[in-house]
This record gives sequence, structure tokens and C-alpha cells, in this order.
Amino acid sequence: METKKKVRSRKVVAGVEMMLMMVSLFAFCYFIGLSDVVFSLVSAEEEEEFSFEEWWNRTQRSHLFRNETRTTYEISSLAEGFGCCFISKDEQRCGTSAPDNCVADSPFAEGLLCKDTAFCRKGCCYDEASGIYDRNVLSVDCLTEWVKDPNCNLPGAALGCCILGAETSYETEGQCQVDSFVLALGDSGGVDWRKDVNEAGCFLLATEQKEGACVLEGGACKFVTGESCHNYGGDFFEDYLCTSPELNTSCEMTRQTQCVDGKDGVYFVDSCGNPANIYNVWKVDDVDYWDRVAELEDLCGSRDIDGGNANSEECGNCNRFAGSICSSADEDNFNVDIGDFYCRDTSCLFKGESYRNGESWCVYDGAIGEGNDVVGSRHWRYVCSQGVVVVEPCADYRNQICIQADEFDVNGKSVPFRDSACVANNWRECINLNSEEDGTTACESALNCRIETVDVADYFEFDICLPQYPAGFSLSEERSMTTASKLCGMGTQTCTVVREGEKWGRGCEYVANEDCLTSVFAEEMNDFCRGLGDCGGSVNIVGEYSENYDVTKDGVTDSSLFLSSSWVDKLKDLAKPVPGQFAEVENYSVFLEAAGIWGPSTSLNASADDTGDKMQDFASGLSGVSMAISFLTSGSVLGMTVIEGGLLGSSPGLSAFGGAAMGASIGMLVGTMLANYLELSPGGTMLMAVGGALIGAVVGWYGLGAGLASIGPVGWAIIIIGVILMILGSLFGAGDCDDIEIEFECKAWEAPVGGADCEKCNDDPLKPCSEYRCESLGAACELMNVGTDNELCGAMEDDGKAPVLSPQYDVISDGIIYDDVSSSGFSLNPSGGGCIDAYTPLMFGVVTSELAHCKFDFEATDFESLGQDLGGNAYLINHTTVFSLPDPSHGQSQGYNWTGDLSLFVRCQDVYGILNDGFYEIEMCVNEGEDISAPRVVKTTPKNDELVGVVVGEVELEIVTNELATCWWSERDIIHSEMENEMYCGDSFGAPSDVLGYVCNSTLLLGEQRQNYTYYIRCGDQPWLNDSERNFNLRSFVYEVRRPESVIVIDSVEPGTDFQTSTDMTTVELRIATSGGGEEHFCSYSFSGYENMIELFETGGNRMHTQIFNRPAGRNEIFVECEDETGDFARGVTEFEIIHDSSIPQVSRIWQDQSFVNLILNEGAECKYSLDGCKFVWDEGVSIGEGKEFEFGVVKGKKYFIRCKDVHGNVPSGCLVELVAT
Amino acid sequence: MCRVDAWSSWWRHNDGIYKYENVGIKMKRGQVTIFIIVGILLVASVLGFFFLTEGEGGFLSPSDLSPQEFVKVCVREAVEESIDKILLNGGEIEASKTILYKGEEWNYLCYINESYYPCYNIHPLLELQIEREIEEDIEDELGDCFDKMRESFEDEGFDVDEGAMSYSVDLLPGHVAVNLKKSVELSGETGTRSFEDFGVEIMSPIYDLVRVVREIVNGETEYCHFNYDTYSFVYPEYEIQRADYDYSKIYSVIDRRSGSEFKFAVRSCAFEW
Repeated sequence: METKKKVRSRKVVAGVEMMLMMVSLFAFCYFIGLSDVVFSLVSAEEEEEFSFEEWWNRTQRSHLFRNETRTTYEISSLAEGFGCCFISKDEQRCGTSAPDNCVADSPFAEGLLCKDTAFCRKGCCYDEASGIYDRNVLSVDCLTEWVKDPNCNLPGAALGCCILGAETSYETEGQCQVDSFVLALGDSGGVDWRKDVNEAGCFLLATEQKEGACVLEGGACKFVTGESCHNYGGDFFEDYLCTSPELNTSCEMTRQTQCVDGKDGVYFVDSCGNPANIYNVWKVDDVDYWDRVAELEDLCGSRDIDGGNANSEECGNCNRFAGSICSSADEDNFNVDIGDFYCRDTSCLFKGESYRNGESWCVYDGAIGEGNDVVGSRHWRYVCSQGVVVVEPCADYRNQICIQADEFDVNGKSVPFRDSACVANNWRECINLNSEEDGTTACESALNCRIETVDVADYFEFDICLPQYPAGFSLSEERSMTTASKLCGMGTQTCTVVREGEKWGRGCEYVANEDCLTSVFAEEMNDFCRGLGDCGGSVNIVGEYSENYDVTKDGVTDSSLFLSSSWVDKLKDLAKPVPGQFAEVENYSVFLEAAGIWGPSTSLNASADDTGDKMQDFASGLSGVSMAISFLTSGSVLGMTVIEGGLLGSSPGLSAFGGAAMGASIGMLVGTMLANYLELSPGGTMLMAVGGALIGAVVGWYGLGAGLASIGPVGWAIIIIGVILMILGSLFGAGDCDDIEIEFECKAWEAPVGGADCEKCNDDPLKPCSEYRCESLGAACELMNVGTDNELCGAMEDDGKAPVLSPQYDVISDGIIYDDVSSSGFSLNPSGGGCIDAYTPLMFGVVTSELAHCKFDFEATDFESLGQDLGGNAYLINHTTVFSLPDPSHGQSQGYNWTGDLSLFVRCQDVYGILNDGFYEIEMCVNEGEDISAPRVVKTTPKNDELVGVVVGEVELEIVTNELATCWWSERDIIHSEMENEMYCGDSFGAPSDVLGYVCNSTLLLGEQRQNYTYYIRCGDQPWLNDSERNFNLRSFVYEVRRPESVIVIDSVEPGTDFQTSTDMTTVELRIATSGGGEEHFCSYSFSGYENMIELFETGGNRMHTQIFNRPAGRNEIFVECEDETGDFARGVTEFEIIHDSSIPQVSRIWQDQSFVNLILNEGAECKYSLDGCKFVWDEGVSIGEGKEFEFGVVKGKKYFIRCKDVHGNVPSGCLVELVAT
Repeated sequence: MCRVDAWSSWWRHNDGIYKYENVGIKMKRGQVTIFIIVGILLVASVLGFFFLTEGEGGFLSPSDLSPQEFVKVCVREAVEESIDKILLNGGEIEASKTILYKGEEWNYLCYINESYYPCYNIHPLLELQIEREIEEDIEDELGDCFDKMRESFEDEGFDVDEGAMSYSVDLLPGHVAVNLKKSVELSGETGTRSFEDFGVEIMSPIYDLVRVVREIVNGETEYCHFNYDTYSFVYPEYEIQRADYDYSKIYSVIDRRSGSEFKFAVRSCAFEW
């Protein structure tokens, strides 16, 4: 019986032991497999505690000042409520303003740009009698006639060549009438105005006018044209001079000379004041030379085609195209042999190089292009104007660049002539392209843009579109400095260097982005930073370097990663102009074609931009960083869960094997802990774990069984093997292999301290100083005596005192007050007492008694080491900042050691580098307590209740919560646990990816086609806690999406039909009517196709989109495209012909019937006649009616000069018909 | 016959000619006669001078002094002053919208407050505007001119009757014409003379300068640009200077022949943040 009982109990024990063994086997393997995880989990538990500063560095540094990558510079957008105001309170007319800034009785159109309003519409103001037509005039400013056409395309505004004796003038017919009358040319004659002659032809026509001696009564003589002579009633002798002996006039030869209007040369002048032949010292007494007008080839110096007889003492045959012009010898202190005038050299000498009159060239302050334009620089255009070098600075802040061409193609022949122009710098578009789909592709062909490839490490490379010539920013104007900070912030990027422990060694090995730990990171990032504008480490125009960036390693500045001194020296060299370097003349033809600007393009060189092979866009360029983050994220979260569920307890009553298994588990854990203590690699950890397990198993076996004293040789062998394994394992160290975050912070450029270089701005009269230029030379530099004749750049007075700090009382968050204010600081406290609530945006500021640069940190350290700028990297008076503080309890659970009390240590330095004494301390505390608040959704993208495209099937939703959370959504309003869709919330605690908080994403499917979609979102905070300890939304956040009722359509495009015009150029108003779609419609047009569209200036609120063009006659095809805010678009095209009727009326038949003349024309017209001649003033002619058929009475023997004008204003310059009545 | 050269006779008395005393007495008589005659003539002249001139300072009779000339000189001065102001103040007697540059106020002819947009021509038909400005500016002066003329002639004893005045100013090539009409009657002892036309022409290049200025303004308002250096090349009689200052363009158009300078400013397509 006793034996049976023993056998039965042994069977039971065996069975249990076998079960335990089997279970343990799996468990054992599981633990081995998880040794890496356990290793890292244990490491996390014992992880070094972070201070608040470290939390701050991980969050606020990267997000508070992180620039929103989408920066738009559209000038057509209007803030809500704004509109066009006719007269504002500051007496500005026709400007965009808020309604309360508009004078009470002034017209105001909300939401409209002024160009779209009636009261600010530009038109043409004219006076037909005087022939004056002025463009772009407001109707209220015009006291005569005003029409809506801003281009003044009216018949009377046509320009033609007015013949005024020996001179010509390119003007309207009305002006020609005035001039002719005044010059007594129209007294009895007519007005010689030729419509079909252009300006160049008119200029040449002057040289063709035949002049001669007009002998008047009494022997007087005038040297004029035949027509003028006829008006004077004299006898005309063509090509004769008034001093001709044959004419026997009272005019005699002299030794005087003069310049003649409209002519280049120096001319002899006779005693009557008439010009004679070109001054030639050898012919002053030559009677033959004073007889007739000399032929051109007989004139002195006619072969001097290169110099134009410049500076000749003997010959006055000047030629402006060859480089000389008639000028006063007295004024120029020139000794001419005879007379008072000479041919002045109109060429210029500039820095040893000769330039012809009219040539222009570009001058730069330093290197240009590729983002290398230095701070304070601008492009300059110099012109040689009649021997004087004239400077024309291109727009400041490099809003214009200077381009130069050295040759012109004239009829297939290359003519060397330097010509330059200041053209707008398209830098804004380059920046904007980065936020557009396919932006880098568009960048390749965009004007003045280039693709910068940042390639530092294997997972830190990206392409970005940057301006070829980055713009400058005002260094003193606050709004500009704010924009500059945002723009420069685009250059703030973090590279995560990923490491892991060596498998078989004690160190770490780099898995990704190792090269970010080299100087290449700072070099490439600084180039990127400088390429955005006046940012980063860069120099000014005198080569003074200013740092303006920071490189941190895990939140701590690491100067070993800064730019090397040799690299900085290279940057300093950029302040020296590069000989022969000019801004590239890019291919404008595509844009000119799109704009419908016809005419020959200037010489064009194909863009020489290099496009990189890697076409990653900016967002995906961060993929390396994202991968690194995922490494970081997946390990810790997973590990924590396992730790809590992974421990096995010891169960009494188990057999030795069970004990062994248990012991093995315990031993393994012991081994792992030991490995961690010794900082072993995963391999070493595994060995330690196994060895520990073996030892543990033996101990467990014997410990639970016969006792440790009974361990036999086998048991000891196992123990020894285990120990050997542990010893071997201890040889494989792992070290600390956390990822390393290397951040490059790109800051706005700040001038060097002091004002030692201010006066250098005044040195060069050919480079006049400006505010931008002056302020770039030093923080203490300012433009003085502004507006006076003594405007100079000088240094501000150094009062020798430190800035005094005080609270910025007008800037503080609601419910917060400045408390305990003293000269050494203040506290920020809720007005009701206590501490500030967590996750509340806290806005406050400091005011300094003078311009100062303020910085702060959480430790009292030297100014250079303070990590944060208060108010920006600039010299300001008001220093404002805003950030939100997390719940300290959240941080503590994440390993942050912070109780909620916070002190900021602030120091400020003035423009001369004088620091305030000690630290200005700002104290605050944050409520720490039981978190009973559920997360809040603070932002959604797309915005709530926004429209999406008609055919869009899904929406990529991004929400931002104020604290770290996990979120779900459903189409039903149900509790979170039943919601079908979980959002992806990839942020980790302390590293929110949005400035407002933590981001979650999901794709919302828009099912059946309907107009409204409603989604319910709920979130829970503190994802590291059990659900029972977390706070979940009890009410859903309702997110709605709408579709438009219909897709946007273009209803009509006008003009759509051909039309006739009476002028060479016609004002055409393109009118596009749209409907449907979303609430904002934006249209664009092109004359060349849909590839290059030009956007209309509009706000988006209109359904009628207009654009005014000035078009010549001919066929027109205009492509239009309109888009709404959802991205849906519609296209259209219109074709029309502008028919210019330029033909004058023709006589079909004319006959006389007794004392009447009958006239029939080929088209309707108004006809008049004169008895004096063909060139009569139209208004003074005798009208014979309007129509196609005419009949008028005539007197026998009289000669009738008849002219007819059709409805388009076409009238012959001479007579239509001359008849003598019989 | 008395010998005029009495002293030479005296030296001859030793030759037996008349004694000195007798010669002297005879000489004296002749001299006295001559002196008396001369004296009479002198007195008559003086009396005649005062009789004929009648008044302070005048050496000419009113019949020789035209009231037209009097007024013209006065009007010319007034108009020249106005023209100087116009040239300095960009087409206005007093500049209305200006920018301070190098210690001077430069008047805007084309302006828009907003950035990137072409300007509005705020002084269209500049010639006509300048004509009106001059007309208004000289109105009081014209009245003063006629007042001074009237006083002057009344002081000379004339009666001066004046009618209503009408005038206009025209900017014309090479000069400024003032068409001034006022009926003036001068009545005196010699009769009555009537005058009506007091028009005057003042040589000035302002008309031509304004033409150039309008070209510049039209270019700026349409293209935000004017190729002033090319213009100077084709029309060398004008020097055009331009300075860029505070998002505005400061223009100066100089007529090289006379040195007259038209100054103005433009704010168009400003590249302002």
C-alpha cells in the first residue's frame, strides 16, 4: 500500500514537472529572445533623469521657433474685414486698410482689391485740344475728360512725327498743332503730322529736312526749311547759307560758333545768328565754306567714326553715336581754337575701363549668386551718360538684381555694346515652391531659383528650392525681423545619429547619419541657412563675420561642430566682388510669351542651373530623421509593456525542475541586470543571461530539492560552465548607445556688436549709403540726418550704460500677471494666485531701456552660452516670447525630474556689447497634480468644416492635441473603445511635432457621394498608463468635411468675338465668369498655354475675374484656368481678333455739276476742305458733311483741298483730293 | 572886334598896341555879353526842364513811357517767380504730397501707398495744371502791377481809367505766354491814350521740361520704369537724374541749355515688406 502511494505521487509530480519543463522551455527561449529588449528595458528603468532644461531643449528649441515651411508672399490676399479704402485717416488714397482706418465718408469696399473697385479704378485723363493723354488717373483727379481705359488707347492719343521746320517731335496730333502754331509754322499753312512714322523714324526724319537760306525783305535772312520760309513769305534757296555772296544778304561771316538744337555738331554762326557749316578752324575765313551747305563727306573729321572728333580743338563735327557732342568750352575749361564750343567726349572711364556713351554695366558689392550675396549688399547699375558715370542702384534688400548683356544681335551681326538692367528678384517664388507639390521640379525652370542639395549623411539628405540671390531683411524694422526669423527658421533642422551596441564588443556602432557628427553638417546646413536670406553665419559688405547659428548635440551647444576658421575665412572672401561675375540673364521668353508681351526678346542664355539627381522633396528629405525617430520610439514603448508582464513569480510546491526553470528565469534576469551594470553588449548580455540561468537552474534544482549542500559533481559542472559563460559575457561591453540628436539652428543675421565700421558706408559716392547697408555694418550703426543733405551712416552714441530691463506690461497672457517686480526680475503668476496651468500658452515679455539682444536659459551661465533668444536674434526694445509648459507629473513619469518650479535667467547686451549686471530672473510655477483632464484637439488640418474637392475620395486628416494622446475616430458618436479606426499618433512624450502639440494622423474615407461628412474623434491621454488611469474624452470632437455642390466651372470668357478698333493698341478687358465649386476662386491666364500661367491679382471672393491688357491688332488666344480652395480646377480658352482699320477713306467717284461738286467715298467719313492747303488744322476746315456721299458748292477758279476722316479717325496726312473748280 | 585872346594882346603892349587897361575894358564887355547870353540860355533850359518834366525823378514825359512796358516788366517778374516755384515744387506752387530728400521736399507726381503696384498719376494734364497754378499765383501780383502803374501815371498828372482785367497763362514751346487784357485810358493835357493788350512772353523751357516729365510719369505708372538714360541719349538737350530713396524715385530733369531744373518724385512698385 505504501509503495502504491509513492508510485502514484511520483507520477503526479513527474507530470507536473514535465508540464513545467515544457512551459519553461518556451518561457526560457522567450526570455533569451527578449534579452535585447530586457537589456534596453532595464536600461530605461535606470535611465538618467532629465532636467527641465533637457526637456525644453528637446521640445521648445525644435518647435517653438520652428518655421512653418509654407510661407506665402501673395500680395493679393486680404486679411478678414480688410478692403479697399478710398481715403484713409492717414490721407492715403486707394489703399488696402481696415474699415476703422477709413475716413467716415470715404467709399470702402470690403474684401476687394482697389483695382477691382469703381472708385479706385484707373482711367485715361485727356484734353483733346492740347493733345495730352495721361494714363492711370483716378476720375476724381481729372478735371477734363476721363474714360475707363487706363492705357489711353484713343485715336487722339496716337503718336506720330510732327515736322517742325528743321526739327521733328514724336507727339500726338494735338500737340503738333500747338507746336506748329507757336512756331508760326501753322499760321497760314497746315500741320505736318505723320502718323505712320515711328519714333526712330521721326528722329531720322529730322536729319533729312532740307534747309537753306530764306531771304526776306531788306536783305534779312533766316536759315530754315522751305516750308518755314514759305510761311515767312521769303525766297527760299535750298542748300545756300545766308552768308552766300550770291544772295547779297546782310548776314556776314563771323568767328563765332554755337550748338544747334537737334544736332550734334559745333556750327559756325553768321552775324544774323543763323547756323552755317560745321566748325572747321581751317575754313573760318574760307568764303566758299560760307557759301553753301557742305556735303557730309567734305566736313572735317568725317572719318573719325570711333571718336566723333571728341576733344578736337579744330573740328566741330561731333557725333553722339561715335562718342561726342557739342558742349560749352568755357564750362568745361577746354581751349578750343575758335569760338566757345567744342566736341566733348561723351565716353566714360571707370576703373581703367572705357565705356561708350549710353553703355551701362553692373557692379556688385561682393560675390553674387548661389546664395552668396552678402548682408547689406545690393546690385548697382552704372550708366555712361555724356561722359559722366551715373549710378542707378537696383532696389535695396536685393529685391532687384542687375543683369548685363555685352553684345546685341543686330540683323545677324553681333554688335558689342554693354547694356544692363535692374530686374525684379523672384526670390519669394523660390521659397514658396517648397510647399507645393512637385515644387522642386518647378524650381528647375523658375526664374532666379536654384536647387540646393543638402547631403550630409546617409539618411540626412534632401533637396530644397532656394533663391539664386537671397533677399535681405531690414535689420531694424520689427515686422521685417519677425518675418526674417520665420524664414531663417526653415533652416533649423535636426539630424539624428543612430547607434546601437556592438554585437560582439563593448562599444557602440553607428547605424545611421554618422557624418552628422562632422563639420560637414554645419557647413552644409549653414550654406542652406545663408541661402534663405540674411541668415546664419555670414559676412557683411566689409567682410565682418557674424555667427547667428547654433549647433547642439543632444540639446547642448557643441562648438566642436561649428564652422572651422578656414571655412569662415572662405565666407569672408565673399565680400570681395568676383571679377567678371554677373547675374545670369535667364530665359524670360517663356514668361513673356505667357504674359502675351510680344516683340523681340533680349539676348537670352539658357539657364545654367544644375539639377541634382536626387529629387526628393523637402518633406521626404526628413525621412532619415523619421527613421531614426522610429528606432527610438519602438524600442522603449514595447519594452515597458513587456517588463510589467514579464516577471514570473515563484510558486511553492514545485519540483526541483520547476524550481530549476524558475531559477533559470530568475538567474537570467539576474544575469541581465548584471550585464546592464557592467554595460555589456547584447551578445554579452545574452551570455550572462544564459550563464545566470544555468546557475540559477542548478541552484533552484538543488535548492528546492535536496538542498544546496547536496549539489553533486554534475551540478557543480553546470555551475562552473555557467560561471565561465558569465565571465565570457562580461568581456563584451556595450557602453551608452543612445541616439544623438544634432541640431543646426538657423537664426536671422545680426550685425556685429559696435559701430566701428559705420562710416565706411559713406566712403563711396558711387555707392550711396542706405539704411540697410548702414545697419549691416554694426549693431550701433544707424542712418543719421535722414532726409537732409547730410545723410550719413554713423554710430549711435554709446552711453556706457547697460540696458535696464522691466516687464513688458502690454504683453501678457490673459489671467496672468507680472508679480514681485523688482530691478532683478519678476514672477509670472495667475491673477488668482497659485501656479500656471499646464499646457497653457504663456506669453510674456521684457522691455529694455535701449536696443538690446536678450537671451535666457535655465541655468545662470555666461551670455554666449545662454541657449535661447528672448524675442529673436535681434536688437530690440520689446522682447516677447510665448511657450507652453507641460504637466510636471507627466514629465516625471517619463523620467524628467522637474517639480513645476521654473526660473529663467535673462541677460541682455546693448549694441556696444554692454551686458546688464547679473541676471534678470523670471520665476514661474506650473500646477502639478493629478491629471484629470482629457486631451483637447487644438488644431486640425484640413480645418474643420472645410471644403474638399468634388471627386476627392479621402482626406488625410491631421489633428493636434495639447498633450500626448492616442486617438480614434468613427462615423458614429460612440465611446472610444468601440470606435473602429485608430489614428496613428507617432509623437513621443516631450517631442511634439507641431508647435501646438502632439500630432495624430488618419485617412478619412469619404464614402458615397454626398455633401456633408461628419466624423467623431475621441482621445485618451497618458498612453503609458493603464486605461483605468487615463483620461478619455467623454464627448467627441466633431470633425466635418464638406463638398461643394458642384465642381468649379468657367461659365464664360470674354472677349470671345472679333472686334474693330481705331487705334494701333487696344485696351482689352479679359473677363472670366466662374461658378460652382468652393468659396474662393482664383484664376490665372496665359497667352502661350497651360504650362505657364500667370495668376490674377485677386482675393478669391469674386466670381467675375478681370484683367486688363494692352494688345496690338491681331489674333489673340488666351488660356484661362480657375481653381478653388479644394484644388478642383477648370480650364477655358478664348480666341478673338482685334481688327485695326487703318485704311484712310478712298474716293470712289468725284464730279462737278455746275457749281456743285459731288464726292462719293468707299466708306463713311467726315469731310472738310480748305482753300489754303492740305495741311490745314482739322477743326478749322470747312465741313462738307458726313457719310459716304457729299455735295458742296464751289466757286469757279478756286482750288479746294479736301480731307476726310473715317469713324476710326483715319485721315490722310495730306489731301484726299485737290480740285480746281471750273 | 574884340579879340578874345586878351592875354596875348597884353603881352604885345610893349609893341605899341593898346594899353592893357584899354584892351581889358574892351575885352570885358565882350565877355560879359557872352556870359549874359549863356546865362539866359541856361536859365531858360532849367526852367524849361522843370516845366516840362513836372514831378520827382522823371526825366521822360509820360507820352514816352508806355504803361504796357511798365506792366510787362512787373508781370514778367511775377511769372518768373512762379515758374521758379513750379520747377522746384514739382508742378505746384506749394507742394502737396512730398518726400524729404537731401533737405528738400520733393513733390510726388505719381504715387501709390501700397507696395508692388504701379502708381496713380495724381497730377494729370500737368501743363494745364501748371497754367492754373501760375494764374492763381500771379493774380494778386497782376493787380499790384496795375496799381503801381496807375499810381505812377497819376503822380505825373494823368487820369487813369481802368476796366476789368482778364488774363490767362499758356505754357508754350520755349516760353510762357501771359495773355493779359485790361482796358486802360490815360488822359492828360496832351490827350487820351488807350491801352488794352498787356500780354507778355517769358522765355522759359518749362513747357519742354513738362513734356519730358510727363513721359517719365507715364512710363512709371505703366511699367514702373522709365529708361531715362536712353532718353537722355536720344535727347541730349535734357539731363535726367534719378535717385532711389526710401522706396521712391527722386527725379530731376534739367534743360542743359538754360540750366532750369524740374524736380519731382514717384512712388511706384515699391518693393517694401
